[in-house]
Amino acid sequence: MTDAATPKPAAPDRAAALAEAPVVLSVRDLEVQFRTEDGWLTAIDGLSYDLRRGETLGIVGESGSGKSVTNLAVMRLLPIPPARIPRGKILFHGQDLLELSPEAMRKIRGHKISMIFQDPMSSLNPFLRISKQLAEVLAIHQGITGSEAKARVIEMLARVGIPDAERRYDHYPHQFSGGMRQRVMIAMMLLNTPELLIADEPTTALDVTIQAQILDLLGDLQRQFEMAITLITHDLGVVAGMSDRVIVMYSGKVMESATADDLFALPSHPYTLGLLRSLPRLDQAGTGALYSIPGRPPDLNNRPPGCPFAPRCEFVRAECRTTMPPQVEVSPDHRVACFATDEVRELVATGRHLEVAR
Amino acid sequence: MLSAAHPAERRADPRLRVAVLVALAASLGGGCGDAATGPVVPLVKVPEDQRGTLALAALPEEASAPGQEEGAQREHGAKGFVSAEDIAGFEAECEKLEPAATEVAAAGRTAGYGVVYQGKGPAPDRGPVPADGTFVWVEGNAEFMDPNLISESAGTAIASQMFEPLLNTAPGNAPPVPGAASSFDLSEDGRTYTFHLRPGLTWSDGTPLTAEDFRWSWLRGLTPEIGSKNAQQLWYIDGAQAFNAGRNKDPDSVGIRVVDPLTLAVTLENPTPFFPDLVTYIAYAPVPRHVVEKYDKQWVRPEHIVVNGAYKAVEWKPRDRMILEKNPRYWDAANVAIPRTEIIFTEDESMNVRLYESGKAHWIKPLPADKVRDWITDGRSDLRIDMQMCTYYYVIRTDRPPFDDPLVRRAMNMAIDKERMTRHILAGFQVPAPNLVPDMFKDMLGYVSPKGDGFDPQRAKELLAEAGYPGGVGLPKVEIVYNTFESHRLIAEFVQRNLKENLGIDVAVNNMEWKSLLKLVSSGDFQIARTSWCADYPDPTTFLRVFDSDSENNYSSYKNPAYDDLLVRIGRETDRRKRNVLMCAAEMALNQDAPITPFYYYTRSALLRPFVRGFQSQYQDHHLIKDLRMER
Amino acid sequence: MLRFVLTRLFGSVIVLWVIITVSFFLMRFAPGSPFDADRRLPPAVEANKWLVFGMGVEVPSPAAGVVEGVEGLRVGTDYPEGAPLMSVRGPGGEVTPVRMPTGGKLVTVSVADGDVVTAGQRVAVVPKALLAQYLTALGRYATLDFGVTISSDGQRRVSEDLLLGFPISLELGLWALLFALVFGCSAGLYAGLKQNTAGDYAVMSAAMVGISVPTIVSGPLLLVLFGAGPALIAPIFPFGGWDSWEYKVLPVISLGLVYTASFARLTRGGMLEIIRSDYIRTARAKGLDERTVVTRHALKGAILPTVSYLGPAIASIVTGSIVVEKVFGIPGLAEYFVTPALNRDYPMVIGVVVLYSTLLVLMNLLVDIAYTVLDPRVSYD
Repeated sequence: MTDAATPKPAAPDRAAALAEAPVVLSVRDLEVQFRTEDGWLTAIDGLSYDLRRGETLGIVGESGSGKSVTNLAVMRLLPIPPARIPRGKILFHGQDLLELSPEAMRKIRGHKISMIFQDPMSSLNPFLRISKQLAEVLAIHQGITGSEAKARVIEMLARVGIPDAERRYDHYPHQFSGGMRQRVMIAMMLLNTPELLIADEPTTALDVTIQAQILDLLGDLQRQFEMAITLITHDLGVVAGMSDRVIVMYSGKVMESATADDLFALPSHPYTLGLLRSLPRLDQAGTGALYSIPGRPPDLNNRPPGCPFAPRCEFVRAECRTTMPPQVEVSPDHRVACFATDEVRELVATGRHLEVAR
Repeated sequence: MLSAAHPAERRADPRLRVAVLVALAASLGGGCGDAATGPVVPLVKVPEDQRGTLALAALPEEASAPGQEEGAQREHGAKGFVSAEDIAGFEAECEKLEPAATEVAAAGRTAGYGVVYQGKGPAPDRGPVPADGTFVWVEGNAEFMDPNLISESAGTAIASQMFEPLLNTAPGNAPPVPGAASSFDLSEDGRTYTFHLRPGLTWSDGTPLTAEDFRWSWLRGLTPEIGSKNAQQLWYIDGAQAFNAGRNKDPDSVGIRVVDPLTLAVTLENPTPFFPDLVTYIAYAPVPRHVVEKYDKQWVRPEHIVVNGAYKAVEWKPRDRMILEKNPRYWDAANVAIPRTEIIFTEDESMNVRLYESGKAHWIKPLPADKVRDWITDGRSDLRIDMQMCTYYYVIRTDRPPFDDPLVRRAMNMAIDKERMTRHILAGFQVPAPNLVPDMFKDMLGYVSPKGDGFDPQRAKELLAEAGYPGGVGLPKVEIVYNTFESHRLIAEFVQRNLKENLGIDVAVNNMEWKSLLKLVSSGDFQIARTSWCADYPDPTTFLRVFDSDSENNYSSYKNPAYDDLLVRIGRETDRRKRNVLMCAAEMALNQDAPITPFYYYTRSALLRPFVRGFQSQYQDHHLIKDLRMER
Repeated sequence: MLRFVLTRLFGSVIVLWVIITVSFFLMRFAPGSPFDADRRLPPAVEANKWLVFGMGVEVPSPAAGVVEGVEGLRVGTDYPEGAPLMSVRGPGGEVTPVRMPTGGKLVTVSVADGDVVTAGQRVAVVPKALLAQYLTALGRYATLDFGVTISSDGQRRVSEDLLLGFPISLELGLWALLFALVFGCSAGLYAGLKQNTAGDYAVMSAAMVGISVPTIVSGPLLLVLFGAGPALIAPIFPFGGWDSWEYKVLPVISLGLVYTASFARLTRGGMLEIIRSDYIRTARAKGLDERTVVTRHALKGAILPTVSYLGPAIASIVTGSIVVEKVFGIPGLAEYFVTPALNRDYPMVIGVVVLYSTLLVLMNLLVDIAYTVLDPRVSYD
């Protein structure tokens, strides 16, 4: 892992360009619940964000934070009997996706909004040739079949970096290596040049070197197609390399949201701090165990009132345990939900926030 | 085979002390009558070291008349069999017992004889007379159609429709009627029959049929290389047995002579009053020489077969069905009413019933016993039950303790309630058997069997005590074996209970697969075996001969020279009444010596559609379809 | 793939050889011979049959002379190898014993005490050594000659009889299989997609009943309900043969029912598993409608468990057909499963064994090949 604590500085014109771009997706106060034996469990509580064209939003959190559920909710791939969406809106170009009929939603899925998944081996149908799996996307949404479809598929395969695409067009997924498969998946989902690409942990199952390649690929394609990307991951390094903006989620709630630069320069939430501390650093290699945030991941069934991070927080105060801290804008476009944010920011200002007793 | 152990070693095996029951006549269909001939009890030569004391010690005089109504009183004597003097005594008894000569002379054979059940109730309507006139019936799978090779009843029944012998089975129990021969003469000494063939007879392909055909066919049946299983029926002919055994290779040594193309003279070894009946059997049917020589074993295929009878095979699918059509060249074709007949091969009684009830089959047998019970209760009138000339009995090795003592054998016989057995276990009006020969010969021959010991548990206990086993104490282990079949099991268990209740002895019963049992029995390794015997021909001697010392079918190792001599005398006797007396004496000897325990005489049941006319009970269940017709 | 098939075929030949050998010897160990009957054959006749069918050999006299010692022999019983049978007293007074060449039944003795014999003259007939019989038989089987059946006394060839019944049994089995696949898989797919609904419960209950009802019950039941003659529901279907399609309906249903139920359960299970897989989620994410998701993406994987079960299912159908053929009176091969063994018709038994083994081996090979076609991840190369 590279030293990811220092993000690539965004090109100033990029940030400016993004600020002008139209909003593609706007999530407003989304709540998602799941039915369990013990009643309704809230997986996402009050999520809101905007995503502009060409922008990459990174959503970070541990498992159980609700990050994957967000995407499935956007795609409306959540199976509705166990899940329900009691409040919130998901506005795509102003239109609330939650209100759409299933047929209308299907037209959007795979066409305007695409999603790539974590494990490309299990996410590709092992029984069908990739030619078939890819071509069908063109067929259903654009009605393109036959030799034209084949040509486009081969072109896309080449574009995502599959060597010898013409020959490998007819292969089965198991005949590709892990990294290649992810490229195939990307090709498949981008054939219809979607406006929004949701990437759910796209590199988690791959090795480090491949990860970097895939991320680069995504970045290239984003620039070419002017896509918005939602990148879900638990890996801050990935976030740092690719995101323009970042949301940090914990136990279904947004803890902090900011631009990537701001987040890494001035993390303002104890959880974010903890995450940053957990990253192994080259300059501290060999000095002992890795830091991990003390405590256990949240039990979604047994949410204590107040801030969900309170049990593990080193800045915890009395009020944290009883009241959920509101979102506070600590600087332009940088919101934090924490009573102790000033303390955190003070620590960060000392420059020694990453030192921990190891 | 491979497992053959030396006899001495085998004796050590405790298993061998077990009685083995051989269920011979009961194949899958159950019941005798499946085999054209009865069960075979092969002779087993007992080696020196295993022979019991079979010396024919002189036995004390009988105090009372033996073998009449109830159990005969037999003085406690040495283990052994009846002697020549005893037999002389029996003859004297039988003189008084047997019907007079006048009655014997008047004895004819009456149609309808032997019907045991006549239903007065409804016969369910299972459909109309078939439009195409095809009469459909069922049989077990027939392997052979070649008259010289047939040995089972299925083949016999079917081939009998195709090949006509010199004489034909008559409907009912009437004596044989003319067939290919229009008449016959018998010589003074009763040994030579001269048959006169009808002129102008031909095979179905037009080739003339002459006396030479019969001679050739019978000699073919006797040729050892053919390996015919029914050749024994030809042995009554002078010189036939030796020729069949290969001892004499000269065909002219056999007493069959072609006097001229229409006349055949047959000389027998002994006067054989039932020879005309024998002549109706399939072993005596002619085969077409020109076809046999051309096609060898394939000659019976429908595409090659040539017949002289009323029907000819046009289709034969083994294990499926066979179709026969009227032979236009049959001499009596004009009187053959049914143009076509289909035989469906089944091995399953329930399937038979289904075929009948669905209207497909018109005549079915055998029937499932439980259904027969119900139908009898309903009084169903399309159900026919006749007596069969077969006896079900347990054969006993008379040279193995404790059954080497006739007292023990008779005690066992007297301890079994056969009346109750037939009423409660069997369904079809079977007749309890006090002696070996079924009670069917009074009408036919004026012959009456002397009754054996009846059910007398008290006397049975006494006999057992006299034998040295009071209350059953000290009796060696006894085992009864039978072949696997439900009713055999029920009977064996019944016997087991009877013996326990009435004699206090414990008897083991065991079942075994048929071939395995056959093997066990033919090697003589058993105590008590279940078996049966069906008549080969309508005469008591067919049963009596089983117990000849040399008979291959004598499983009981009953070797009594006095009895053998008696059989020889019976064979030579020409006076019918005298002959009856001698046969009666033979039965008395068997009742006395009790090498078997007879249980019942078989019946056979069948369902026949009411529109089938001309069908009559026949003691051998031989029916010629040419004599039937179908009409409402 | 070709190599795979060839290797398998070669292996099958070995398997067949083992089966033939085991059957051959196992059959001979059962007591009794084909010629044992309730009516005992005259010894000369029986001896002839033993020779004709290659099961017996003549015992030649070792010398010229006069026979003695025959008296105590028990024809028809077993004697061990080397047991003395008789002896021949030569002209010079020397006595040459005659012994049993192989252990087994003394089929017949062809001479009597006092007979004068020449050297080499047949004095007895005994069983041929088993190994010799085996090798001769094996030689013939290698040329696909299975000989003639003993129960027909040599009239009919084994292959002929089997070929009469085989097409019928094969047809019955294939129809039953087809029936089971079509109805079973559809029912299973439906149940799998509608998990935990009334439809699912209905299908699975029916499947439970179907599996529990063996052919020996379903057959007669169908006949009682729908067979010609007095039928409880409607006498539609005739039975007792295999002539037209009406004869085939009930037996096919009876035989197929059990497998329909098994396939339904297997397919349901397969579908349940597949429908939860990631790639189905991907398919939906592509915007495919549910129907296409099921038919194009889920189906292939869902029927895989059924395909793997096909091998044993076919074997089972083959043996299951015995009951069905008996119940419905169908002239197929069922007859030949049991009756020849009971009758000790050795050539026929081997014929049946070879036929069925070949069938099973081939079917299993086909199933394995089918599996590779369905699941591209599996390959035998």
